Amino acid sequence: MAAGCSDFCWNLAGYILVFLALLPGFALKFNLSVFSSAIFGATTTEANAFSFIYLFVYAVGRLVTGLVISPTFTAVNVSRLATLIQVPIFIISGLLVLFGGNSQAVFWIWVVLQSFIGLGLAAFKISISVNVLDRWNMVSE
Amino acid sequence: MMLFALGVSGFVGSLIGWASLAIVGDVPLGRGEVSDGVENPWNDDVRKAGGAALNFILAFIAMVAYFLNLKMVKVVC
Repeated sequence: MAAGCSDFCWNLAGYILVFLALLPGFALKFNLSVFSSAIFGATTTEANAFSFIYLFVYAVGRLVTGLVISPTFTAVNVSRLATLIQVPIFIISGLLVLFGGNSQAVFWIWVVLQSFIGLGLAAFKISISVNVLDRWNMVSE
Repeated sequence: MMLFALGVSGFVGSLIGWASLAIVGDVPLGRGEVSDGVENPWNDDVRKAGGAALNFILAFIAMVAYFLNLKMVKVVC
């Protein structure tokens, strides 16, 4: 470990990292349909469809992430990619909400973009346990 | 510690999402609803601005997480 930081300090840093990486996805995941109705005036059917698409992509992400992690595409890379993709997607989504108007097309583009956030959330969640095992298992000591 | 962070981020994330709905305008009053003779002041522009602001805030949080991830993930995870 790097000098100048105790075990507690590194644990705290890891806590903050995981907390911040997961927070945006969770903020969205738990409020999918209410956001769609509040921002776009979506009907119940549209909000339900949004929830289904988001959670389906999220489920696929959780399934596939474990399969794609390999010695070349490591869990560290997955966790970095999972946090990195959220940044431009949230910015584009914000611009879309601000300047895109209220049309159906804009709403569904927004749904697709937000579903990629779900993909990032799922990938990061899977990478946590794999990263912890990589770092702390007995073989690497 | 990591799993605790997972739980807490879910909890705080949902709180942030819920709180942002107050800005966006559906909590506690919907568009144009009247309470005690006062019409809900939020309009479509405010709702759009609130929704966009939420996305930008979340983008900033994700960006901080990414840079922390670059620095620390090999050390702490």
